[in-house]
Amino acid sequence: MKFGDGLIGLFIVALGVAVFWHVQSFPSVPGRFYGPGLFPEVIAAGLLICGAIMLAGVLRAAPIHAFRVEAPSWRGNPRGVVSGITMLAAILSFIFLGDAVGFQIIGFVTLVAFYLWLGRPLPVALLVAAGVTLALDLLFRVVLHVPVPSGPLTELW
Amino acid sequence: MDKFITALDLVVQPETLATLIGASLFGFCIGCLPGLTATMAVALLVPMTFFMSPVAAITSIVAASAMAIFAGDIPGALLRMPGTPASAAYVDDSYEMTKRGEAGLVIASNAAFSAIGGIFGTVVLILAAPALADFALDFSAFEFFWLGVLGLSCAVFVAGDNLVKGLTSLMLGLLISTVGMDYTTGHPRFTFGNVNLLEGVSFIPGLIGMFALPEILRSLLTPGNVGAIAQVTPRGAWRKTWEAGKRYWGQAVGGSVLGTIVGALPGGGADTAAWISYAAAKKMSKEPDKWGKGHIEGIIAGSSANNAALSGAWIPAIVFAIPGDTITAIGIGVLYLKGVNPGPTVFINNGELFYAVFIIFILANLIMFPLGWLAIHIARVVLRIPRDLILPALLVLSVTGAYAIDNDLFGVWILLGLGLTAYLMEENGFPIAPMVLGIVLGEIVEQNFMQALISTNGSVLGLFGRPIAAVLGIVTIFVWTVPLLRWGWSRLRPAGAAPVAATDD
Repeated sequence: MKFGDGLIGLFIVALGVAVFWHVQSFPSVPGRFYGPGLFPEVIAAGLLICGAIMLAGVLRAAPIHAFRVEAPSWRGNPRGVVSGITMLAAILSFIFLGDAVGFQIIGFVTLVAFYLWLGRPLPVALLVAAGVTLALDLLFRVVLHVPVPSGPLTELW
Repeated sequence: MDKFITALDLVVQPETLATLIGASLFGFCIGCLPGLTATMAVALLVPMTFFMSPVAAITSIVAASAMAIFAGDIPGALLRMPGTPASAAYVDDSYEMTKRGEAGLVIASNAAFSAIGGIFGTVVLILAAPALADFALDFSAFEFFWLGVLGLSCAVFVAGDNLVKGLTSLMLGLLISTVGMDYTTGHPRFTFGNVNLLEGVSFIPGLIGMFALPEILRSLLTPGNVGAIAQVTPRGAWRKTWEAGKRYWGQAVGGSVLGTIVGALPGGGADTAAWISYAAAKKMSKEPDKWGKGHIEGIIAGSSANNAALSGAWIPAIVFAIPGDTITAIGIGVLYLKGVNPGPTVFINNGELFYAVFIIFILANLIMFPLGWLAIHIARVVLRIPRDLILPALLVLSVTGAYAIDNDLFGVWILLGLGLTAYLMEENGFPIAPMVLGIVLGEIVEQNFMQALISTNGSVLGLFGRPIAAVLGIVTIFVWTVPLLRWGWSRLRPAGAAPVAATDD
């Protein structure tokens, strides 16, 4: 998704202002100008300058185009959009269901769903997904001793 | 000479040689996997060193870390996912070359110049260790602050076409680095009540997110297959590497020298070394417009620098017991564990042991040639696998890797958040590299800045109060102001009576 440089410039300036404003709530040591807020303030100033330069640039060149949102590159490609959404859904299910369901099951379901959606026949999807899941589990849980959340499978191994 | 023969005797023990090969293969596998760092490879080896002789224990650390840093280049070239942070500087060049069908050349160059850099660093380690470490020992917060800012200025050089967008990206990275408890007062900053953020934004999940997620997402949104491109044969790859080496030998030497120096300075690791060397080589390049679009020059400079830094980091580690990075920190721990106390007297008390370690360093770097050859063959197989089978597997690997660093699901949040941010930034022409640099160096710069301010009672001029700090400070200011002045000049010039109109985008 592409935003005009004017919109981005505005966002950067707003971010700079927000950081600067938020930092004022940080505690300060009496008689000292250097506290926890100093370094973020320097960064906020940098953001303000960068945003201002971007705004100044577009106002001089092409003020109208600079505040438009361009059609994303994936428009007209609904298959791609569904794939993208599936990816987000998969990551979110790792986050929210990871402890309860386990990484192995979520990983396996994610892989099967993707392979079917991308046009692989069911046996291939099941086989490859099982292979990848087993290999990753072997690597992380068995070889590297990472306590991968396994959900109901915990009892099995 | 006697000590050298005793050392050689220690090295040719079957246990040492077996450890060398085993640890190299282990480091190779870990380095190849995005999200698993060289530090992680070494950390995982520590329990096993309990059962080894002192020489074999150090061998395992040296071999695994050297191989992991080299192997980190491989997924960078094939999938645009740097295996370790040290490969991030030149990942775009590597990946662009792979898209042109030159994966073999990239990996062969990575192997060859990693080995050259590593051996160069070792030679310096052997010859100049005491003097260099002595120099770095004098450093305080003042010098480290300027060194950090100088590191940040690399962002100006790696920013790409748009300086302002590059600097914005750097600022965002610095902002991310301030998240967490403040160094001086312990005040939680930008955590918004989230306890997971008190320790800061975990870097490794963020790195996987910023480099892997946009790539997976883009590939899913717009189908295409890298595997369809014919790849060079391994034989062609080594021949081309030889030619590239003849053409750009200066970059290899420069990268090795810079890498060794940066590595020897505490706080400067293999990743910083790669960034600085890449930026410096670009600055001096005759063809700077080719950079970032698949140019071998930066790959040579960066590959040699990160492995040289690895050897360089052992200089202060062995002679003064000051770790230059996390790997040598673990290494020093193992040395103490084995009853070998690093320090100035180490060559008197344990001379033959350390001469043995030096020989191991050379061997560990030489073994990269056969493993590099192996990697090219593996790479050819990997690239033949259809992309739609790999992408979902990479997604699951990325999520598991992000979890595995801290054994915490919050890492997956960081992966998602920074991944989407990076995707949006790249879509809008913001380079990611300066942001990564900001995240890496932000903490170092701020901590030393605050330390220096506290010790001078808030005097900013005091930052120039020590001779080495003053020199570093002036160099830093020079590096920062010249591009800005040049940029301002190009803006002002059309208004004046300049004979040639400046190109203005």
